[in-house]
Amino acid sequence: MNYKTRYFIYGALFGFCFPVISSIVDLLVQDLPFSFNSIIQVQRMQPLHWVIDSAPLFLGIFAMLAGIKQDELALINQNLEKKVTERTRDLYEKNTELSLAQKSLSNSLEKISHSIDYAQRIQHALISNAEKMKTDFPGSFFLFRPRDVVSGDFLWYYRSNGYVYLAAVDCTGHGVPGAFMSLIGYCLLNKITTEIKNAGTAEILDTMHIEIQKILNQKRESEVHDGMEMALCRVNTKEKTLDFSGAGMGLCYIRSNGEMNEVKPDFFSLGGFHFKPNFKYSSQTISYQPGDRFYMFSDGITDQFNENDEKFGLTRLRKNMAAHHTKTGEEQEAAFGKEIDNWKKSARQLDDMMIAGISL
Amino acid sequence: MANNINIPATEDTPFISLDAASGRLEISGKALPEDSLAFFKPVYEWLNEYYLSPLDSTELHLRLDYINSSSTRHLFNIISGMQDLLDKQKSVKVIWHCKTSDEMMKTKGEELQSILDIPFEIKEG
Repeated sequence: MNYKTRYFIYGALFGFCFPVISSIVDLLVQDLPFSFNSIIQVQRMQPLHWVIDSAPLFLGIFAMLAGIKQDELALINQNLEKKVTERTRDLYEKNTELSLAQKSLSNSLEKISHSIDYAQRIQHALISNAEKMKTDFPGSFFLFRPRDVVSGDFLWYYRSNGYVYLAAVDCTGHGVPGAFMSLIGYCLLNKITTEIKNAGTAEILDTMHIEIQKILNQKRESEVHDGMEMALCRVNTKEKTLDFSGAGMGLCYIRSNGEMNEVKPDFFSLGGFHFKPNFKYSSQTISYQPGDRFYMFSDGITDQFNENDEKFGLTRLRKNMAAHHTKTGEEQEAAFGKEIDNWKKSARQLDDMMIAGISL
Repeated sequence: MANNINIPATEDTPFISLDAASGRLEISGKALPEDSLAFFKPVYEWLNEYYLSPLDSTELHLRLDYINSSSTRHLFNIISGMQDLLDKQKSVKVIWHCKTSDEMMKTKGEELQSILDIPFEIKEG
């Protein structure tokens, strides 16, 4: 039964009490016996009873109005409850969808990171060759800070016919594309130095540039302009000379007396398109003394921001070199690492970082 | 006439504004997109269209705080491509804005200035 009917009955029943009580009171006041005829009699004599008699009707109607409101409220309530149930079900479905998506995302992420970890082992195996530099030339070091797991920066070391070759290479891109480029660079350096006996540094860079263009099918209009910056040394330990050629990456060196020098590289990096046709790389020869220290580094260090959006810069790096050049290789690696950490703090690392120091 | 291009800056990519009506081109902010070719492609396309009917005078304002090596290559292509305008007897100017404190960007500007045959001004401050 709805509220409307129920309230009407309650109202009418309550209203019926009024004519009953008023009739009884009137009978008592007039001292009449309790009989149907006496009731008819008092009702006829007193018109006020007629008004009182209408109480069940009016109270019934009033109560019924309240019942109608109550019914409306009940209906609204019911609708609301239905909506809440629907929404809850929707939310539950969305939640299930989301957790499925999250599961698939973390699955993909796990697969990708496993795959990159695998790639890192291959890259490490290739680069570990450069570790020989540290044993062959005590006092040397190599600080390597990839931005991601795999890196576009690498150090290459090779000995042949009394010459020692050493290259610091910064490939375009970082992460996976950087690592792809680094493999090209690594293999080309091996190939060129094996094919051309006692190759000069400028000759190697000229050949590298053409070989990268060939491998990546680079033409003026092609879309892949990738390549690498390279600082390349060839050391003749008998004559105590170092030949240097740079493609976008220079060389700093400090004499044992503390004098600092810098060899600027040629502007053009390797690969992509040099708009100056027939451009040839240059080379310089430096005579060295025992205790001289040579440094090559990628711009990931000098371009690194600190928390105040200021760059590490070349001036700071030169100061660091002046402060640490007399230390052992291990000490230098730690010292440069600390300088970078103190600078960077919580700022994001934007590029691969590498610095190689050779003590001849 | 090429439609104007306005690309807002993000954490990894610079603000780019190319205005064919005034001939004023601007690239400013940090340029280290993960895929630099995809990022610069709309710029190349816009320039190709602009070069069909260029204004008498074009200015390229570069206000970069950081540029990674692959983006540098694209920037180099964009600037050296402006030789087209010089060949058509149009006036071209590249203005390299850099902070006095930023020796790295200043050096980069000076290197570009020395290697390019395009009017190139460095403004510090």
